[in-house]
Amino acid sequence: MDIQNTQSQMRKGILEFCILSIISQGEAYPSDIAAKMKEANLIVLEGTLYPLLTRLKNAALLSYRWVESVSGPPRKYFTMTPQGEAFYRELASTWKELADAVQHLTQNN
Amino acid sequence: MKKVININFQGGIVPIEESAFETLKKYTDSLRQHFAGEEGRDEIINDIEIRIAELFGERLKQGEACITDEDVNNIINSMGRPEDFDLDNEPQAQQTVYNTANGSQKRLYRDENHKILGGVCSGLGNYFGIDPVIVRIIAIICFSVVLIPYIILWIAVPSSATQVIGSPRRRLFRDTDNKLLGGVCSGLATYFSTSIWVPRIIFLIPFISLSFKWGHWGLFPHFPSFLSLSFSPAFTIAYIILWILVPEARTTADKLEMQGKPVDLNSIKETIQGDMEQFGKKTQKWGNDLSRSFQKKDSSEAPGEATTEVTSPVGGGQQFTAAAQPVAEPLNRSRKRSGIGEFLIVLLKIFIGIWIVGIIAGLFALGIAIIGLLPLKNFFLQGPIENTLVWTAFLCLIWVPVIGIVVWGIRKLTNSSKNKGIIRGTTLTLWVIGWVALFALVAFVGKDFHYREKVDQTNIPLLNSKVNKIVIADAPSSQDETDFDFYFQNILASADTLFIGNTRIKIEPADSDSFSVLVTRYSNGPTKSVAHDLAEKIAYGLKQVDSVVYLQKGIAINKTDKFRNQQLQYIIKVPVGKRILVKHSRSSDWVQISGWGVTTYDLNYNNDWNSDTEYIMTNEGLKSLNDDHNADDDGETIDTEELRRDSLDIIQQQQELNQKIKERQEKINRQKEELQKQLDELNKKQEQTSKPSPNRSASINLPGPVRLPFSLGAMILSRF
Repeated sequence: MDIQNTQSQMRKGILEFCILSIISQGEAYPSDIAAKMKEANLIVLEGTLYPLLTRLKNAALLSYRWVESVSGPPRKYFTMTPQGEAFYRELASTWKELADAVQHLTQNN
Repeated sequence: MKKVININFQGGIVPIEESAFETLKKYTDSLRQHFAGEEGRDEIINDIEIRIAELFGERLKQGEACITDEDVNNIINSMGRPEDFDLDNEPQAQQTVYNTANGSQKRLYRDENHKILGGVCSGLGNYFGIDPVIVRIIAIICFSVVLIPYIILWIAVPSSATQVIGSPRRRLFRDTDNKLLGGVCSGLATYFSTSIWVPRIIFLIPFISLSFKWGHWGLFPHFPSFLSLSFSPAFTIAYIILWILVPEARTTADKLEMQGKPVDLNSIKETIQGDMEQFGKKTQKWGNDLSRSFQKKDSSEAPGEATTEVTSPVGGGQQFTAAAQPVAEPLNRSRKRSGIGEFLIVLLKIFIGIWIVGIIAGLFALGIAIIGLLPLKNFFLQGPIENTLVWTAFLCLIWVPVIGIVVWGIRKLTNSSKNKGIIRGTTLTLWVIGWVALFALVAFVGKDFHYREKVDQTNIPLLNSKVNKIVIADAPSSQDETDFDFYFQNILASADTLFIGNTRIKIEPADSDSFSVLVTRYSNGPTKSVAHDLAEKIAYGLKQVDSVVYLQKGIAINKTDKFRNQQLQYIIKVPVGKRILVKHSRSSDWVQISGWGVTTYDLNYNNDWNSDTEYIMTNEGLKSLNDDHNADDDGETIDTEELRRDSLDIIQQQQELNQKIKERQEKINRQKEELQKQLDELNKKQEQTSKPSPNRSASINLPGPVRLPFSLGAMILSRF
């Protein structure tokens, strides 16, 4: 078995949740999201974010607006829709369950 | 020093090094590739480009004059390469992640991106990790076994529109960069990692052995015979099959796959960079050569050396174009068109073309031939109806298709497609009308030939009927063949008469001892009486000069009576012991038209005799007097003396027979007289004994008269 494979699987699993939690704290644009995740030591490539954000937007969980910037091209600022919020809350409870379970299991080792 | 270009990127002008731009372009292309199946692909790429533009802006703001290679590489690193993206919910990605080591997770799909027919072989190849081309080759070899399962798989297995990026599988391609003929051997060599000469020699083995064989015959008489292999075309056929089936390595990805290197953006980039570097080096070298040659020209050099330097740019030019080739190929993923479809289509077109040409040629020839026969039309057909039918049938059936096909060909060449439906409709209608006319014509004419009647057995008296031998010859005609307007074998026609050599001769033995000729005439007609009349109208005649009988060679037919398969049959009766010689007809054969066919018969139709051969009639039939022709074909040579003796014998036998009959007749007469005499005596005696003597009893006298008739009866009986 390839360990990198499993690792990337783990990361893939929580990526959406993390993105949604950042956006839930306030509207954000993609590179900002990437920077915040880097701060939290969760390295993610910007190229990964864009498709994911687009997908979430297509699923009507996110919406965006364009903001003109003085220095350079306009930016997309993403916010959560009501469905997105519901989705996020459900994910949060799932995460809690998972975290508790893993915690419990690893403690016993 | 690098060239800098300005690009219009996301609404702003960005100065960027040319090589950096190339890198950027490749990156965006790879992204486009990667997100090909993704919904919202354009949006994603746009977002990424916006981000890149932002980063460019920052760099320029920091005081950079332009965006450099380094900047672009850094940006790409931070954005990430497509293969590094962590993406979920993508069946495409799953296929790239799951390589063959994890085969149990793999599903069997039909690969419709790499299909020739239905993508079954490609899917199977992907699933088992075998090159699809090999699967195809196996399928074709076991074609009849494989056909049904193939169709089942085509229906049952779902198709997946995937693009298998990154699978490190090695694939069999034709390497057209290193080709001699079709690149088959190069491709094979690369696939199996052998030297290129190994497969070449393998395919050349049959030709080498063939040359050995020839050498064995002529040049090298002492060549050991065990080395001469026979020429087997199997290898050549295998080469041709591979040439058709194995696809060309066109794109850079193909070439990488051919060598078994993983196809991802890195390797593609490296390959292209490598090519470009080579390209760059070559142009540099070329530039150096050019400058050196110019320099040398300035200095005082021997003219000879200068010219050699000047030629190097030309050679460099060739190198230039050669080097430009692989680099000029874009990183595009054009659909691989395998050669098999094209090959089959070309074959089909050739086949159809030959077929059409053959049809046109045949119809044209037929048309010309029928035009040649047109003058005879009026002897054959009756009435305006039949005439128009003939013209219609002829034009529509033969010339309309020819003209139609020629017109179609011209339209194909000039690509004019107006009035297509009208032309096709009219051509087809005319052709159908032609068929209808032909059938009607056949019906009409058939009616005229319905009945066949004969007028028979007219006996033509011969003047010298008692000669020993007669000669049959053609009646010499006053007219030569060339006087006629039309002649073909034995059909001669002028404006108003048609001569047909529809005459037959039959030779039979005669009942009497003189020659005779009987004539039977036949004709067809619409009714029995008409047929009979026409038969009677047939003019026959013969001319006898000494012992030569001139027979009419043909029948004259005029336009009123029409040709109705009139026939003339001469039956020549030859007495036994007499001879006959039939002279060969002036024209080789006599044409007999019967039924619907025109057949050519020799004079001896239905007979076993040849012309120009003398025959003698015997009891068994004609016997040839020539040594090499014998009608009975028993190989005997006949002696004329023997024949004469035979005939004399026959006559003698006949006479003896007659004699015997006479004698017997006389004998019977005498016996009759005797019987009569005895009967008279008996009667007289009976009268005497009927006078009675009274004394004697009747019973005593009884034995007397009873005994007398008894002996008389015995006498009578003994006579017979």
